[in-house]
Amino acid sequence: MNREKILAILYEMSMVIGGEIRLEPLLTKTLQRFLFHTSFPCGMIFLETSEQRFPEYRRERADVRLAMAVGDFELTREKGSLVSIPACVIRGGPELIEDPALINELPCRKDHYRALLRLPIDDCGVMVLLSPELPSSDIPFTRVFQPVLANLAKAVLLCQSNEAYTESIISDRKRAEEGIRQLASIVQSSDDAIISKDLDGTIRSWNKGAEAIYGYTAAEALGQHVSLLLPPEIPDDTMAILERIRAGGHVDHYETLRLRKDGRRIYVSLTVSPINSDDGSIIGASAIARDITGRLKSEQELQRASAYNRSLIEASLDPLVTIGPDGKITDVNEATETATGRSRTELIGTDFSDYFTVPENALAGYQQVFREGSVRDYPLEIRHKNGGVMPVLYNASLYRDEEGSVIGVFAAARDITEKKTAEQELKRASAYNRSLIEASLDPLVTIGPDGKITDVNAATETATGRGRAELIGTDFSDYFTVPENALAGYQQVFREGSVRDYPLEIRHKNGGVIPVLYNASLYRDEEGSVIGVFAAARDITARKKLEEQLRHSQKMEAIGRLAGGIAHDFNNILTAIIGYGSILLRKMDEADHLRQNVELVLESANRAAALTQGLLAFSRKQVMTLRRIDLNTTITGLERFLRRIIGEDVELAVSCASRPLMIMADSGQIEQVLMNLATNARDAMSRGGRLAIATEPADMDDAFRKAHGYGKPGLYAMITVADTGAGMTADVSERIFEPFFTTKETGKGTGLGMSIVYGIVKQHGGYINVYSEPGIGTTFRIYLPRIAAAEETTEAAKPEPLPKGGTELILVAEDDDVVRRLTQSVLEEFGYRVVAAGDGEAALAAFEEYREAIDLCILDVIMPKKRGREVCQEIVRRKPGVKILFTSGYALSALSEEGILDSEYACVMKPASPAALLKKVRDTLDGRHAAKR
Amino acid sequence: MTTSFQYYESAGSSKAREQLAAWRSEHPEMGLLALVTEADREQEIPAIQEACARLSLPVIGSVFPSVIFQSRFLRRGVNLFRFDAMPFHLLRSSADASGESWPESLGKDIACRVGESRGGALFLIFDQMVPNIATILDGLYLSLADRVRYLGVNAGSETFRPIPCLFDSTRIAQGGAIALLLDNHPGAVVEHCYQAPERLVSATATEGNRIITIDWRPAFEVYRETVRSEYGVVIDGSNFYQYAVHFPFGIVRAGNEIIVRIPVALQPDGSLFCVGEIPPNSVLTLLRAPEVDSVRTVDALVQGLKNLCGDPAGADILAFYCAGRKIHLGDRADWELAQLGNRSGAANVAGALSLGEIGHSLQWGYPLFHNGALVCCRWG
Repeated sequence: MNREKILAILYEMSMVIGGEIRLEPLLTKTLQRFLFHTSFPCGMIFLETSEQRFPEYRRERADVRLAMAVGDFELTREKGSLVSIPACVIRGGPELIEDPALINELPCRKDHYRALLRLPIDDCGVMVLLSPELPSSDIPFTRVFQPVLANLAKAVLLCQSNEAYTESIISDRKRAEEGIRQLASIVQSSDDAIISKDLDGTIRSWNKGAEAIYGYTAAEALGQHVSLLLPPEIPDDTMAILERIRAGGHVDHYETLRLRKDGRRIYVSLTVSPINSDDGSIIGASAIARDITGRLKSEQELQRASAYNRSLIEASLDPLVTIGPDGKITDVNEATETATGRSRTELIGTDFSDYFTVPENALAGYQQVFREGSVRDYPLEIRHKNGGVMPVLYNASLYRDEEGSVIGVFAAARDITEKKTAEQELKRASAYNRSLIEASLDPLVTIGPDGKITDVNAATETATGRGRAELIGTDFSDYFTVPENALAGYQQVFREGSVRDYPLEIRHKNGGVIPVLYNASLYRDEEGSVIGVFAAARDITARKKLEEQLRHSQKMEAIGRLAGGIAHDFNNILTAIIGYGSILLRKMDEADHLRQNVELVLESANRAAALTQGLLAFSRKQVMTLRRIDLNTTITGLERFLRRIIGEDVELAVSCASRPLMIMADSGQIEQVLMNLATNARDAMSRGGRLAIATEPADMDDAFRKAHGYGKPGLYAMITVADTGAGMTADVSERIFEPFFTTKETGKGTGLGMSIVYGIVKQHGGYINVYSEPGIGTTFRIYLPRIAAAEETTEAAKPEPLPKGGTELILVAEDDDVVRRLTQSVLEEFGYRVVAAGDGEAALAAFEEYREAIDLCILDVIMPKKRGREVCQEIVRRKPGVKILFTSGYALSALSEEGILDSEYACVMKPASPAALLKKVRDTLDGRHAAKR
Repeated sequence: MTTSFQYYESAGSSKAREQLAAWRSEHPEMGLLALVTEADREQEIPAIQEACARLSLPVIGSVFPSVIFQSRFLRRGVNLFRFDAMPFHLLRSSADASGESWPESLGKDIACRVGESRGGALFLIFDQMVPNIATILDGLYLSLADRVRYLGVNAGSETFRPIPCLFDSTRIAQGGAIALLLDNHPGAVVEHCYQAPERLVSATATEGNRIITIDWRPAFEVYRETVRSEYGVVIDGSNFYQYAVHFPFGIVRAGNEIIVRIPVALQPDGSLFCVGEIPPNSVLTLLRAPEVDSVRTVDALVQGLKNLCGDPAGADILAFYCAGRKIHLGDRADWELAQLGNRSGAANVAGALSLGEIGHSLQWGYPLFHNGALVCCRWG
């Protein structure tokens, strides 16, 4: 394209730019011309503003305002808004780029454009044109439009300035118009008649006030002569007024009579001023008229009323007095003479305060009237000449003359002698009631019909943690955990007159919660009208705690019973497995390749037996050997073993009480408790820590019981086991003693360790509690009943001899076939002879048959037809002195119920290993069963 | 868009009625676009409206100096274009009793209908007497942007008399436009192939379609001088109408593309009326119309159609041929039109003789108003 053509096009574009004075058309038309000439289908313009400058660096993204967009729908939707674009699009010089990826970061149609033509508009902004392909034109687009773009920059600035200036002019004009409109509105809305007239008296304007005062509408009045308003009976003053105005004068507050349209006469106060033209000449008059008919009437009525008032004042039984600004009495009525014992002449001109018991108070009230305009019920005591005193309440106010100037104080006193006496009585009664309320330990509160607290006692302050002043006036329901429930109770009181034992929870300021039961009823005033609700709360924290404790105990008891039942059935099964397994093993050749399998069966069965023992321990059905032991000795003796359990990473600190702590306990089980706790502590301190075990004497009393919700008063030995491990949440602590509850991963624990601890402690008549904080650690406290330290010391356990056989005849009575056959096999294996029976009656029959030969009867405690105990009694009756050995898979309670626990007979608990059974049999036959088990 | 079209000497003929009934029974949702010759408009428009009313067919149509069927110009009869499903269509004119101007109303109604998807085309038929079509197109582009492709023509009388040239089922109107929103339509190609000489002038004062001054002198004075110096032809008031169509103005774009503006009337003040707006200060040139190359024009159109929607061979083509171009080319126009049919291999070329053409920018999406051009698109 030749130079001439380019210049012509530039000229055309410059003319487009130069012809616009508003920014948006300028940008639109300019962009359209660029698109027309370049054949780019789409374009946009970004402008810098005083508030927003383009960023300096090209790599940043920039939030810039899209001033104009044409040709791309997505882009046109963003017009006028801030868009985030790569800063390199708007920075730098003119450039034609083929970069689809960059263009895709613009808020335009995606994956459509390939070419971007950037044309900076000097310092003002940038124009960006987009196209799906590079233009084929030979025109250097990046250079050719520079002059036009420079013009565009200037035009943009001019348009921006012009628009700002136009905006300011429009704003100024709007303000001015608003001012005129307001003025016109003021004139229109004025109650005064505001009219204007020519100098010849022709009415030219007439406001609504004039319509109201004179009764003529604007249409009726305009163009009429002002004498229209003149009553015929008075001289025409209108022309005289106009003459005065013409001479440059004013008329102020001229009171005269005027005529309304309806013929009524009205008094008006007229103010007339000249209206000047722009050159200062007077061209008319404005008149403001105020209707004073009412005021004049009032003044007349006032005069009439004055005389009447004086008679009323004199008739008043209340002492009335007027006092001048100097504090001297200016007038009194007869009642004042009576109250003071002084005559009117004696009082007038004297200082008013002289007639009160405390003149300073009287003077203060008088000054208050001057400060505030009046006082109400101001208490004073009038001093009678004879020394008597009359309590009064004064109402006083300033009184003024017609101009409004203060000319003194008018004061009226009301004799309140009787009221005062009644009040004192009430106060005494009230103080008494208050002391009763305050003495109450229960939170008491009164609530108004609007639900706001009207009064509280000290117990309420304690319960909520908030002061009386803070509570009164606030919504009562705000202080409960569930305000809706509180509100429902309050509404119930209104419906039914009262509520009883309504459960709520008071929310303490410190976040604490107090469970309470509310009794509430309506209370009424003397006339019987309801004036609110009186509510008394009873703190049931302790009761709740006890209920919770009971619930927990019952739960544990139930679980224990279940566990004990399961253990019994398992014992029978395990007895068979262990027994036959042992026989099988013994008969197998040492080289037998199946021997290992049998050993594994026995190992598993023994582990299962240990589990059932754990369940029995938890269910407190385990047979205990109670001895007097020193708890300190037991713990000290266990210390080395505990160190091995917890490992090297955990520090063990054992601290025992200085004095022996004697308890009746099975020392083995106490050791079991400590080992289980130590194992748990070790698992909680996988990264090391500290395990502290301490003993000390502890006394439980009612205070302890109240605080903890459990405990039988007495002397206890307390063991504290505290670790610095991971700790537990409240949910976990709550369930920690339940059997099979474990937080360890599957396979890492049986879930019985803590249940065993619990069972053992309970079986020892003790208590255990746990306190744990996640991330801090866990502390267990065990309380075991203490006995006197002076009593005998613990016996040392003797090593047990190896099982030995025999040749005696033994009756085995067992209802479980498998167990019976096993027992028979074991005994026969060791040389004994056996007679077997499957129930109680069969046992007696067998005994009868071999009575003389039988040396020992092994009787299952629970059997069909006849129980072990009955069979035993019958056998002993038939053959006194015969040896009896009871067996039981049932829990300890079963032995106790059957009377076996306290009998002289030995007992072996199932599942008993063959060795244990043989030893027990041998001991019984040899008469070595000093202990019952 | 599935369509068909048929030419009839009269839409009221039994043959036409039978065809309409047959179409209607086959395509219950169908509608019609009717192109009516100026000579038959008074009989044919009512006949079409009556026939369509009887069959409950929506119809929209307009009047042209001639219609095109089988690549031939026909001065009598009607072309009926069937849509299997009538697309969204509007007729807006200055007679509409609306608070806003009809172009505004047209723009808003279309914008509401278009949605955000691309792929459709906006087919516009303006009454040629509308003086500011380029401005209306600018406004539509500001609002619709690239959501549609643009194509269209001007309808009316060859004598440039104002006549009611737009109609629908019930109305016949003038001074407005018809809009059809064609779904899944690729748009059209526009081509004129008029060549531009080097000499440029500037339209220093314009008013819509009227060039008042060129290089600050009365427009006709400069026009006459230029024609004489460039082509040796002397134009005066008496032979203006005879010659002007052969020496059209071209509005020069920086990309060397030309928008043709044919002068059609000379005013006593020396100003010139053209078909289409001339923006103030436009760079003008006097086009070398006699040198227009028909073969090149047809080849450019066929190539454009191929680029736009594939090979047109065997397809039907909707074509509008500029009346000014036809006057200028005389018998060559018939040959050019026949060549369009031959070189494209189209089964049929049908359309009308138009008084202004609308298409995209020759390269991309900006809608422009042309004279002296052909507008073509595949139909069906």
